[in-house]
Amino acid sequence: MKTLLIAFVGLVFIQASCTKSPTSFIKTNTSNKPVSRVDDTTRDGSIGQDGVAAESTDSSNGSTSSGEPGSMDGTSQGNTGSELPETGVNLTEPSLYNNVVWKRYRALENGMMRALSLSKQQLCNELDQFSCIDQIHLFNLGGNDPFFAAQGKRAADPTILTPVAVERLAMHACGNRIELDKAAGANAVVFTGFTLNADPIPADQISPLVTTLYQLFLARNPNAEEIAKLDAFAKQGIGSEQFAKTACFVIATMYENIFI
Amino acid sequence: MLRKIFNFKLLYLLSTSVLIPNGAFAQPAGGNSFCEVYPNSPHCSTAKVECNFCHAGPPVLNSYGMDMQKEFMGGDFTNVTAFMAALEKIQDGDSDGDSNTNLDEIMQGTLPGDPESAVDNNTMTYTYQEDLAFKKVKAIYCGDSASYEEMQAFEASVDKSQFIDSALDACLESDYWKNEALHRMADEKIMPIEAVGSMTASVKIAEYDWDYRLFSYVMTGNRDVRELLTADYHVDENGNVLTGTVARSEGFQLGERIVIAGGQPLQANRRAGMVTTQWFISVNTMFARLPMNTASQAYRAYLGKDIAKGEGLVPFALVDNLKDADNKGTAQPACDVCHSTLDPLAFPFSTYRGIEIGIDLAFGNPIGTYDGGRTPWESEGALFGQPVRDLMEWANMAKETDEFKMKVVLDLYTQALSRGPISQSEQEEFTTIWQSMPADRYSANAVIHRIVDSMGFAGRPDL
Ligand code: HEC
Repeated sequence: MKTLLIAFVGLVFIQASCTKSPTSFIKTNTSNKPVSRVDDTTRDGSIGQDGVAAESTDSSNGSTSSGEPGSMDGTSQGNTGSELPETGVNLTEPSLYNNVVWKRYRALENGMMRALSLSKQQLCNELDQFSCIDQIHLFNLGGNDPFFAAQGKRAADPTILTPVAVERLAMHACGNRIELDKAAGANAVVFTGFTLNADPIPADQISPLVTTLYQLFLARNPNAEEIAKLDAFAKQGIGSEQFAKTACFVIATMYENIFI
Repeated sequence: MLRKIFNFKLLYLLSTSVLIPNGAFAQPAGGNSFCEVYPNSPHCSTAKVECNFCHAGPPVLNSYGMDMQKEFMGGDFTNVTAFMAALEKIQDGDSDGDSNTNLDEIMQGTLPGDPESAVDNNTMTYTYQEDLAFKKVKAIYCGDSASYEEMQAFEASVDKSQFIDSALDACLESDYWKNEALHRMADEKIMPIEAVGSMTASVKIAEYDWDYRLFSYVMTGNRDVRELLTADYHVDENGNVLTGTVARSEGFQLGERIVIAGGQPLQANRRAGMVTTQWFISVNTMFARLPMNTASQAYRAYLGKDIAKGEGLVPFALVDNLKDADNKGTAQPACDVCHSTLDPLAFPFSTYRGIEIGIDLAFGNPIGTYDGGRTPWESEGALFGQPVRDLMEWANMAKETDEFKMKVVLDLYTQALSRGPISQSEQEEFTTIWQSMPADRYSANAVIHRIVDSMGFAGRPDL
């Protein structure tokens, strides 16, 4: 029953993520060109389902062919630029200075394990038993299994399901760490100095937590603007545990943690 | 299972033969006349004029090919003058509509019939970003994310490029690089099939673990990557180098599981690295007398030329009684366009035994062994139009070619960046890297250091 419930929640989540994922900073890539082809992480060339295009300087209409398989099931081919509202934005032209590298499954896994002090077994398992990295989401996280799945090749670029896979991973990992820290009480390892059951979150705990999470996931300190954003979010009257989970999820799924 | 694979290949074969009608193909006359008109085109120096210059996939023409067809009525490729006149007539047009004239594309080395391949007008300048390089090194070669502490140490270091170099050296010795990343790079070369090649295969026709270990061994430790094609040794699961033959790990079995092979039975002086392992010969040659699949896979995986896509066609005139030696009808013009390259490439593999049903499957370990009298024909063949006496000569010639070097570098470059070089400046960096291989003693690690040092790897445009 428990597993069924999780599966159901998972499905609903996937549905939700495919249409819109408000909490995540990863935008769903609706063009058939992969997100790594956007010029860089700041000039975000992706587009939301609501059709709001981010800025881009290119105006021609590109062709739609892609060199290597970009998707496991071909669904990423389904929604081409031509179906989008006329924005003058070219979503399919590869960038001439395409130098963003996708942080693939193992690097992402090891990074998350260290960030949250979780073992491989603790990190993420679908239905509590299948490894998110090595089994369920391997292909969409940039890996390939030639032996049991006959995949001789990894995806050249992120697939349309990559954001979903990254979000599943982050959701599991952040949730698992919070559960462990709750149980550990004074011996908590990540969410330390922090009363997880406070509601709303005490104002002086917001910035230290945000800073810790930036260091753990992105290997740097947040700037003032970044802290202010999450601070404003926290001050909407959100409880400690929910804020911890959301901040963890949001920072773990930032472009910066997925593309280098 | 065996039968399934075999039938699949047969089916594939039938489907390709149906798709290709009899017709005139330009190769090689077209390519030669082309280079008489444009001797300074990069297509005539480093690269070769491939089918994709005019074809979307033979026999279908691309836009440039169609423009050629309009001017070159009749398509008699022996009429060199008419062919050359047609080339000149269409050179000022822009067949693929990518706003670069055909002539510009020819002289820049891009394809005039493919809008995706365009002249690089990128005049951007780049600055090498060391922090970016460090993070990429950690992710690509260590399979890890740089930590906060590591970034602090990096920021504090005086000699950043030294810092990156030592991090890279450590990564290249990591378990991740040796036993995971390199293995995934080898997948397309080895093409493992769990059901017939694993230690627990239900029908074991060889063991591919040997192939993965050999690949990783040659590609690490500053060894000479040319040994991919010449190694006369194997590497066991403990990393020991074995020079002799290796006995089967389990004996002949028929029943629940079928085991007809295992170990490495081929004598050392007939070994050519990755292309003579028991798995490579077994899974590619299978029941064929003329091992075309084996040759084409070796050509594709180690020289970067995929004959099935019309790449690397360098016909070699066989003496008449060797044309279509295997009696498969490959001498017809529609087949000859590829098979005049492929068959000569395949003869040297003929003396290696595929899967032959016989009593010695039970009492010996014949698959992949050498048998000079296996076929009525000899092992002489040709590579890139040059005659070779046997597979040893084939491999020795192959490992010295530019194609081999380019393939090694392209594999490593693509592994790092998930793409090949995309701009003129990256192309230049790429060329320098493979041309430096002899000076770098053919070390894969040296190639990787050069890739990491390139602008393509960690350059950020100056905006
Ligand atoms: C586009 C190039 C091309 C053309 C044209 C072509 N072949 Fe092939 N053929 C190949 C390649 C490449 C292989 C090896 C298998 C592979 O790599 O896919 C092959 C393999 C074969 C094999 C060996 C199959 C096996 O399992 O051992 C036969 C037989 C064959 N071709 C017959 C033909 C015939 C007959 C024609 C003409 C009707 C033809 N081919 C046309 C490229 C071609």
